[in-house]
Amino acid sequence: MTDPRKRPQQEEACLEAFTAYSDPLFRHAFFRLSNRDRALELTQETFLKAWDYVYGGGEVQQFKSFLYRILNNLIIDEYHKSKQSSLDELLESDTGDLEAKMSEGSVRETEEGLDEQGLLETIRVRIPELPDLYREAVTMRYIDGFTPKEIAGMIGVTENVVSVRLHRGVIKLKALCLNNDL
Amino acid sequence: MNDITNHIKKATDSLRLSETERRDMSHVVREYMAHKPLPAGRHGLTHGAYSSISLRWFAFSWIHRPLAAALALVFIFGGGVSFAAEGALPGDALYAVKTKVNESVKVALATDTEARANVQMELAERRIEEAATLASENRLDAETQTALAAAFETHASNATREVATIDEDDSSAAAEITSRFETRLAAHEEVLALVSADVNATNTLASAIRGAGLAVADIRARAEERMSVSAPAAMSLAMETAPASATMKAAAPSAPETPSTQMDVADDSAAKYDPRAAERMRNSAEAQLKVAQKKLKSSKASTEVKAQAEAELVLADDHLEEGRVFLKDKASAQAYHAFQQSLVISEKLNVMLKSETSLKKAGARTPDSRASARAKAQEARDEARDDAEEARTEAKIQATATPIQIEVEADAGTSVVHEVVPVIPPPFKIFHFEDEEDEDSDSLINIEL
Repeated sequence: MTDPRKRPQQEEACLEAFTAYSDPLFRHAFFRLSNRDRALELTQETFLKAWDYVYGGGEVQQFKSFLYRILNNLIIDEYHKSKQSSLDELLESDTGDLEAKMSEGSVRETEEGLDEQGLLETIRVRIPELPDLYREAVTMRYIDGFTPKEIAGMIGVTENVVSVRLHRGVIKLKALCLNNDL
Repeated sequence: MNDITNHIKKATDSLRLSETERRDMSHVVREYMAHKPLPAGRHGLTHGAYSSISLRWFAFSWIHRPLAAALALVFIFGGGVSFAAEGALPGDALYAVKTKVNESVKVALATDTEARANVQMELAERRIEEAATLASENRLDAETQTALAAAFETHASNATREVATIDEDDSSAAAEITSRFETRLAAHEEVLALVSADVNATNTLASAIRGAGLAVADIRARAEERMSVSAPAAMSLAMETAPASATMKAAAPSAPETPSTQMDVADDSAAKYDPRAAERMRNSAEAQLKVAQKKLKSSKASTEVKAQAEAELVLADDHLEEGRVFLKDKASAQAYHAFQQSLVISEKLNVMLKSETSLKKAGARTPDSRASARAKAQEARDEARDDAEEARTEAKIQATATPIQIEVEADAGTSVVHEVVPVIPPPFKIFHFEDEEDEDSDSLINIEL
């Protein structure tokens, strides 16, 4: 029954997951936290927690989403620790007027005028300034490449909510990038 | 709209772990996994059919034998972790488990005052041992040292408080406990100085130890005073000064003045010294001598060091024998101090043997300082030997003035030891031999007479 060759399988899977996902996880953490050191720590913590789960007899079907879920929880804990204002409060920051502006089409022209390198740099700097919930969705969607459905499963909201956050988040990000230039 | 979202990916792709960061993290993760290896059989859980079987079995056993299962879990996880944590040092992942979980349990399990005092003493000593281990590996930084010194002071002051409470009911117990603690502290201080590359590096801790040692010495002086309520003032004064300074100053096999000072004081006053105190000291000295002998047997020290340690044990045994003679002679005070000296030697050796690994590590690093320390220790020992020799002669002289069977016995005791010292015999045997003879000697002598 006990095949010794199978024994390292879980270990192997974990180590492979480390090789494959340490960079993306770190990237995710970095843009969510805008703090390289903390991002490093949380990334490491994610793998340790994953191993704890395996050690405790848990079975991991899909390492990628499993790891992201752990990391996401860690990041949320981190927010709770460091921020006085609630997440709801942060969401309040209304994007209504921005949306109005966008639909006018004036922003689009400006955006196209930016040279690419400058834009990339600006995006890097501005992502951490997004409100947390938008940042979560935007990071997962555009940096980590999850589909809205996957994101919905991971953070426990409906797909619809994810889409809304993505939409608003992207508008907000654009606005932030453009303000940078002004 | 698509535009910026494409750019996001591009903008962030370049962010990666640096090589060192990845290596460090990989190392930590691997270490962690190695620290918590999957038990054999657990791997099967990933595979369909097998997993459901074992899961069912788990559920079954859990429901039907909840107690056994809970116990098993405690043993597998709790026991393993806290056992592993016992050896943790400050900075290790499991150190918090050691201090917060294991040691709290220890404190909670100590029910009476004496046990509580002993636990606190042990914990205080542990902090010094940890510092010594770190120092021997050159890993003791100022911050850790301050933290350890603070923890040490807390435990030490808890211990002295408990002992002070004991002193109110039973001075002999307090005197015994403080004698041991004091000696051990002094020995720890010595070890700490030996293992640290630079003596000044461990100043914080050393002064904390000294402070605690003085507090303990103070309690002991009071306890000893109390034990001799009926004794004349001169005697209590002699006791108050002599042993307290001697143990703290010269770190262990010393207190040469003690017996001789006592000897000068009128004999009949010594008889009024609480004999229970001497008895208690005797039991403790015997017990610690045995512990030291056992430790020495299992010690991995070099033969040279072992021979030295054995010689010290013989000395401790001599003192013990001396004390027994005094006790027979109803000279409780002298007996008390002889036993105390024996205890001091054994306890110091206990600490030294316990710190063997740290000492060895430090010795490998700085052979010079180690050698000089050894020379110093040798010197102290020689001195102590001379003093003991002196004390023994005096004891003999005194014994001559007492009833005849005591004289015979004292003579027998010392002569055996004299023959034996250069050969370094197995101390255990002598110890037993004399012990048995003790009971019979009276009748034997009577027959002869």
